[in-house]
Amino acid sequence: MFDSHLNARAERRQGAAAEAAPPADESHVAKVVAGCQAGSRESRRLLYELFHESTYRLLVRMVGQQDAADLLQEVFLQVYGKIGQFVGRARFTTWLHRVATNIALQHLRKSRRQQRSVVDRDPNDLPSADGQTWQQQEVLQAALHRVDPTLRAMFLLRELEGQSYREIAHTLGIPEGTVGSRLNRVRRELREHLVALGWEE
Amino acid sequence: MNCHEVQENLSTYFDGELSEDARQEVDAHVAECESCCGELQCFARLSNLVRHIPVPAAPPDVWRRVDAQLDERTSHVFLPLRTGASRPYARLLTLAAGLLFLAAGAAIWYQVTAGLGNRHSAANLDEFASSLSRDPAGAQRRLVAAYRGQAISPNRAAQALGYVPVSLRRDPVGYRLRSAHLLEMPCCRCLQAVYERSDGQTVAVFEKTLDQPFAFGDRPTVCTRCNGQPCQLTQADGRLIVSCQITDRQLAIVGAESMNEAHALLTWLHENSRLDPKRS
Repeated sequence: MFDSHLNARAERRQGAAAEAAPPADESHVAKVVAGCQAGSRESRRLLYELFHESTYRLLVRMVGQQDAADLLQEVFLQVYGKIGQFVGRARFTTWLHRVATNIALQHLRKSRRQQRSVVDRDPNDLPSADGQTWQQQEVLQAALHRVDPTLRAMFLLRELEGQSYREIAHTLGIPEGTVGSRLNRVRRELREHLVALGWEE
Repeated sequence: MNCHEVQENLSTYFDGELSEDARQEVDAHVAECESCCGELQCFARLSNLVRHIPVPAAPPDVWRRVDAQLDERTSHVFLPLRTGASRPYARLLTLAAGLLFLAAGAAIWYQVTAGLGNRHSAANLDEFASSLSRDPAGAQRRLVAAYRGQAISPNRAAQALGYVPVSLRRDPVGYRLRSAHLLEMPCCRCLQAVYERSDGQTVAVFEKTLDQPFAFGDRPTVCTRCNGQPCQLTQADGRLIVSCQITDRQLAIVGAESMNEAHALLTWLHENSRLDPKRS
């Protein structure tokens, strides 16, 4: 009767692997990381080339475009400063995105900008002449900024970075057993905010 | 499974994190239940939305800015890294670290972790470390406010944290426990114990279980070893911060006035970790 959910799950499993994982293979990443640990400037540039896009995307969704570039700079400076501590127990991307998530959460806590985000406004104020994608982007960003920052991070780590529940729990310092129920909560809250902002399901 | 059970497991199912048996039960339920199936499809549309709406490219000058700062740090490792903040301990720190190693009879290796001069990185812990020596009461008040701190007795701390804190098992000789607080940090719940010396000066000990060390902003830091164990020394405007990992705990002693005090407190923490986990 309701077969489409099965297709959605199957597509999602394939999609998560195709979209969320960075294109670089692990052995190449390991070589670049080792180069950074040895102090190679070229390796630092390569590391930035490999991961700045995915990190920037996470930061834009976490804090908004206005501050994302500054935080991207901060993330990579912190990564280069601490890369000697990376010992390869976790995937490098998980470690990197943990740094990015913590910096984003720290920034939100400090600036409390989520309370006065420029995109968190009434849907009637949203410009309509710039195309549907732009509107969706604005509505999504507004909805994301209405949920708790830690829940937002959890949702984005799952959806954008393809992190497992174990990795999410490690990144955010919460019990693994609570990740599913928190994701239920954030997904339901996001749907409510999106609908309130005019999203057509 | 009934609707309630399926709803509770819906994300776990959707994300492929459910066990095979449970997955089959949810499969069977959503094939027949319009409500649960609708919710699942909503999750899929949300996923599709967030993953497919493009994000603009990062500004092209970010790498140039990162590279320039890295260059600056390479050539000015121990010079002041933030405007308006003097670093009188920077050079002393290098020398003192060497003395510590000699005293501990340990091998030394340096790694200067880059200072992270950035307007965003001055964290609450950084601010606490900065103001501890000149305004300990204010530093504590602001920290507690920033992290929704709750005063807690040593006996109740273990229950609230889920582990017996190393920093509360026994007081360091010559100090008395002045306060203990639970801090709700972004990473996790953390313990802060404040100890007072006989001269009224205080040191704070932070403790958590994650594998990520405590961060104190953009201060020059030396990675070293003490008593054969890795630790980090960070300068904090006239005081020292000593960070280390002991078993599964990350610990940071903030406010030591000398290398001798830092070494003594670190030794005390290591001894505490070997004690019976009851406060004595």
